[in-house]
Amino acid sequence: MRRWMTVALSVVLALPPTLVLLAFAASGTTALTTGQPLFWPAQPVTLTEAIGMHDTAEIVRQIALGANPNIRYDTWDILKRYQHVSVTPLEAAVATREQNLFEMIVAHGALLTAENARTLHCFAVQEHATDIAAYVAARFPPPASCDGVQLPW
Amino acid sequence: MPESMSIGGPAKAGHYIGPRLAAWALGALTAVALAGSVYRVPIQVSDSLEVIERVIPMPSATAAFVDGLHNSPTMLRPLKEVRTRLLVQAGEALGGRYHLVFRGYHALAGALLVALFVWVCRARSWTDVAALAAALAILTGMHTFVGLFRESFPVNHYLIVAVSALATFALAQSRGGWLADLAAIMLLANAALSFESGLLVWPVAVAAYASGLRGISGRGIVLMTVVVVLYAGLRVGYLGKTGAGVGERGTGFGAGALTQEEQIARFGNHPVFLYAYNVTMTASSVLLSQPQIGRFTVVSAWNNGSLPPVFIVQIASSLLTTVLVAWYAFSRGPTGSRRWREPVPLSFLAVLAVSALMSYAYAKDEIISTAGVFYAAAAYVALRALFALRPPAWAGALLIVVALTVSSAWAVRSAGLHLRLRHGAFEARAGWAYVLWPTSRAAWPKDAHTLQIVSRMREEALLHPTVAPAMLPKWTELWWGED
Repeated sequence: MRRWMTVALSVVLALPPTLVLLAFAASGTTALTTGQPLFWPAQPVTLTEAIGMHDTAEIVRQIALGANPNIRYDTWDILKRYQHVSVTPLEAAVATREQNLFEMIVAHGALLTAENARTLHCFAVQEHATDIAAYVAARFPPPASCDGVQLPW
Repeated sequence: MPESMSIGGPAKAGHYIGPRLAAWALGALTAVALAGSVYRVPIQVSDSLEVIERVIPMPSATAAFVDGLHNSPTMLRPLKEVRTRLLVQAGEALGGRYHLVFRGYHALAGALLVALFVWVCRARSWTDVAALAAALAILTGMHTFVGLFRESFPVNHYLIVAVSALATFALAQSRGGWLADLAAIMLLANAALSFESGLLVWPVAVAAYASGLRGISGRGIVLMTVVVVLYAGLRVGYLGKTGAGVGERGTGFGAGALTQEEQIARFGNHPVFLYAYNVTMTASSVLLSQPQIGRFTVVSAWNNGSLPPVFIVQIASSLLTTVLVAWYAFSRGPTGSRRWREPVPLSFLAVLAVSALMSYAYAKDEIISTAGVFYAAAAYVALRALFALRPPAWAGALLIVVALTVSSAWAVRSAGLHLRLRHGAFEARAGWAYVLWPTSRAAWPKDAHTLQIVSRMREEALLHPTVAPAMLPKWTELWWGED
């Protein structure tokens, strides 16, 4: 093979993989030394954002570290595209329509009370989250009407 | 030294130093990149925690081994139990640092695999180094590679098989001696008693011997064959284990997938057709990146009205690389014989054939992960041979354009490994959210020691946040596929 061909072939074979390799080696080194990689690191999220993303481990971590499962949290671009929504963890769980998430938050300290049961049941009905609606209805009588209850997302 | 290991090397030994250092530097970069992503994956819960909980109360490693002999009617993996127990003990000895031990083990095993790959490739010239850079991207970019690291049970036994098979090939390349024979036998026994696919070590040794490598002697090959026979005797004759049959687990078929019940309904009386499909499609998966897990995902994507770039990148890069490997295998070396008889191509063919046969009952990318490793090695020798061509200028220019396309595509694919491992980390961590459920204390481990270890593992997994797939940019799905 002529010299120019040998050089060009060597460069085109080695250059793209080496560039990617250097980038991910830097990312890997950062991950091993600081705990988070350069590429696709964990992003800080609120408790309700974690619920919206079905991030069960993050939900448990935040509550274990002291996050209150009974107050409202800001939720950006999860329940409503490019918008902030302020909801409680149980309301966020209704938005996911996942009963297991709802039960998880209750098991980890969220209070299902006569005060929030009506709202949650109405949200669940409007979201067609029938499992969650049934779960709430099994503990508190379903409300006669959902008039005035509007989904915040 | 066989032909496939000596092309293009410089005449003087002193000239090796620069390329050798560069080759090991590439290997080190690959290992660090891999380790960084692998170490972030928490210890897995499914298929893993039950093994950990089972081995903790056992009185000794021997007891764990004996338990592994008898705890399944189809599987014979006693060293899995022993390894798990040893890692748990090591974690305890380090003050409850189980993540460090389990995930450090996988990161180190990944580094070992990369080191063996670099060793086996034996880059001795700068053109070899260029071929090695592309081959490392092929190694890590293969869709089968992620299966070596993404899951663990709690130790990934596919990784043990791949490392053992590559180490056996490295032994075959060595100067040999009784120590090399003994090491090869130990590797075979260790791999086979860790996982059934560990028997792949034997065809690697046989193919290397048949191609002219004498690092493992004829006597060593005979003894390894005796080990295989003893294994079969233990498995079938003594322990009465059975093989997998139709409906063992779900598998891909055509553009869709078949449940266990569907397989029995369609192929229960005539399983040969399903077996033939699985075997041929498994081999095709290594060569063409389709189907994956027996399923032609490209067809289902096409039917859904879109063809994301991931399919074009995967299929085109695999197709061109397979054409290159086939060209190399069917071309003639300086001695006039076809090059498929050389050590690397022949070992790849042996591993591919045996892996495909092992997939007869159901398709699974992990089963062919070792074949993927040898595919990358075969691509390396084929890429290296390109430099020996004497093309006219126009053909040389065309070759350079095609080479750039292929190496770029594999570079993109190799980046996808890290994305997949992020997905794996998220899933593995999510599993711990359901362990030690606060309102189901009756389901917690009864033994206080086991409970303490499981609690610590859970704490370690939950306290290390991972990126949620929902937070990843949408374009990652287009270029590396849906998870």
